[in-house]
Parts: sequence; C-alpha cells; structure tokens
Amino acid sequence: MIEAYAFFAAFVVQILVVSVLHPVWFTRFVRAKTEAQFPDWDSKSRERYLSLYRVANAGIAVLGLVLLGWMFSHTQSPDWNIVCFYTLAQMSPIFLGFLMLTRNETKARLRSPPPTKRTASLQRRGLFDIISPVTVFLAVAGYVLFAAFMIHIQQHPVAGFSGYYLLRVITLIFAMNAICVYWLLYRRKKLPLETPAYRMQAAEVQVRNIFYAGIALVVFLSLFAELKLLHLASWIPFALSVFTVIAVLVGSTMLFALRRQAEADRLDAGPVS
Amino acid sequence: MDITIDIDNPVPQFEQLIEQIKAAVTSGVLKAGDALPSIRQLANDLELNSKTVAKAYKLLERDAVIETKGYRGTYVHPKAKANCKINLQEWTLRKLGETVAELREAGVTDSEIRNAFAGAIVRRQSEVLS
Repeated sequence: MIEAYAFFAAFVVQILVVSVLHPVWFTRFVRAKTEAQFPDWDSKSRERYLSLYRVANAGIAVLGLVLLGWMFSHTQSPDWNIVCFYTLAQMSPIFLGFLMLTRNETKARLRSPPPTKRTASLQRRGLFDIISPVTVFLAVAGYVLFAAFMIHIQQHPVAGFSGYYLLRVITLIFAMNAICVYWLLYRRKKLPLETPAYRMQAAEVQVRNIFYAGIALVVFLSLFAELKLLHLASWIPFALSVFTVIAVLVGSTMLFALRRQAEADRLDAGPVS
Repeated sequence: MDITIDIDNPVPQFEQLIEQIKAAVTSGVLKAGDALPSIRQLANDLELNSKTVAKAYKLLERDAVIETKGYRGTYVHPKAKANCKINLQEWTLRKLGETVAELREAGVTDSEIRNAFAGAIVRRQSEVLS
C-alpha cells in the first residue's frame, strides 16, 4: 500500500513540474530567445502559439488530476499502463513546442538575407571541453553494464519480460544521443543573430543534458528490470513518476541557461530598431 | 575571443582568418598552449568551406604560430608571439628583389628572368617528385 501513496505523492509533483512549471519556464525562454535572435517574428503570432501551448498543458494537468482522483478513489493502486500513457501525453506538448520553435527559427532564417559579416568564437568546442571525461565514462559504462545485465536476463528467462527489447530501446536512444551530440558540437549556425556565446552555451548545456539523461535512463531501466524480477512491479509507476520529474528538471536547466544568455545578448546588442 | 569574417572584404577569407588569429596572439588574447577550435567547428561557425579554414591553419602552422598535436587538436605554438612578427611574404619579396637586381646588373632581361624563374620552380618540383 505504501507504494501506492508514494506514487500518488510523486504523481502530484509530476503534474506540477511537467504541466504547470515547465510551460512557464518554456514560455519565458521562447520570449527571450525570439526577442534576441529573430525579433521580426510577429509578437501576436508568438503569443497565440504560446497561449495554445499553455492551454494544452493546462488541459493535460486537469486530466492528470482527474486521473489521480479516479485512481485514488476507485482502485487505490496505480495502473502502470495508464501512468505510462499519461506521461507520454504529458511529454507530447513539450516535443511539439520545440518542434514549433524550430519551424519558426527555420522560417526566420530563410527570411533573413545571409550576413556579410560572420562571427565565431576562438574557443574550442570539443566534447571534453564541455563535459568531464568521468561523465562520458559513466554513460558508456552504464550502457555496457546494462547490456550485460539484459543479456544475463535473456539467458535466464522470466515470464513476460524481454531483456533484448529493453536493450534495443536503449541502444536506439544512445545512438540517437550520439548523433545529437555530434550535431550540437559541429552544427551550422541557425540564425544570423545567434551570438558565439549563445552557441557555446547551447552546445554546453544540451550536451551535458544528453549525457545526464542517458545515465538517468540507464538507472531507471535497470531499476525497472529489477522491480520486475523481484516481483515488485507495483513500485514501477512511482519509479516512472520520479524519473519523469528528474528528467524534466534536468532538461529545464537548459531553458534557464539559454534564457539568461539570450537576455544578456539582447542587452549587449541594444534596442532593435 | 571572437573572430569576424567580412565576405564583402576583397582580402581573401583565409588571410582575414590568419590576420585575426595573429592579432589575437600578438595582443595576448591567445596565449602559448591555448587550444584553438577544430577546422570543422570554425568552418561551420563562420559558414565557410572547411578547405578555407584548413588553408589558414596550414599557413599558420608553417609560420609556427600554431601547432597540430594529432587527434588532440590545434594549439597556439610556444613561440607564437615572436613568430607572428616574421613576415615570410615580405622576406621572400626582399630575397627575390636582391636576386633580380643582381641578374639585371649582369644584363639579363626581365622576360628571361621570368622564364628562368618559372623553369626553376618546375625543375625543383620534378626534383622533389623524383
């Protein structure tokens, strides 16, 4: 029973962080970024898009509270599938929000003429200039140990549990992360007004987040497998809630850092005529 | 430290890069042993062809302003500040000027000097290849 109450508490925090606080942080970040890097984006259209984003999140938050009430009063035990689907639904506005921002960035880039003066920083942006070798080692070692664990599980099969499935999922995620890291380190400049300091900051925080999220995912999936094997599956919804909150909070540090940098860039550039 | 390339400037882009890196070394912004961005990073940031940046780096390496340490990357040379003061182009012009003056004194015409100069370069290249 304690796991159900632990989940209900974690679920409330999950709703608060993912559907209430994160949209506020994202809205502030979008405003600061657009004002600094593509000020010609019509503010009315931007606010319309941000309102839509907030409404979608508010709707999901209300749905979460209804779900929480229903689980609390009717079942007293959280259903893993429902929690999983709800978490996916909660994450979808975040992905859509970033997708919309990227679409508007691309439109702004296509609108603006190529700059005649191009600026870059003489600061090196190698992987180990951004993140400590220990963190990289932890992420790689985590993956290797997880793979060994999954292969071990597969050789000693447990009913209803596939080690190779989880291994495929994490391999895919790590491969995508590696591509993202490469792209972040060497990507072409997206917007003419993007400053070298912003590029550096963006690469730093995003690469760090990718590594931290990778380590957190290995820990979560290992815990998930352990709970299944130890017949403690009723703790999984709680673990998923806690993981979601941690992942979103770690991801939000990127929004804080980039918002501060965008605001500093705007102050340095002076008023836009 | 930031570096700016003006594509409207008639000075070739690789020379603009060289001049600004040398200026950063001379002014002390870049110190001996400081790491420089990779060719790919600088080319992408400045939206230039990577061959342009590679050419600038190659010339800076020849002048011992920077040094490449294999996979570890490119660094500012320990004697970069002193080496920035050496202008190889000016030195070459001075040397050739002296030789041209000597040849003229001996009665060799300008066209003969040009032909001989081109022939000497071709001969040197074939010597290096063989």
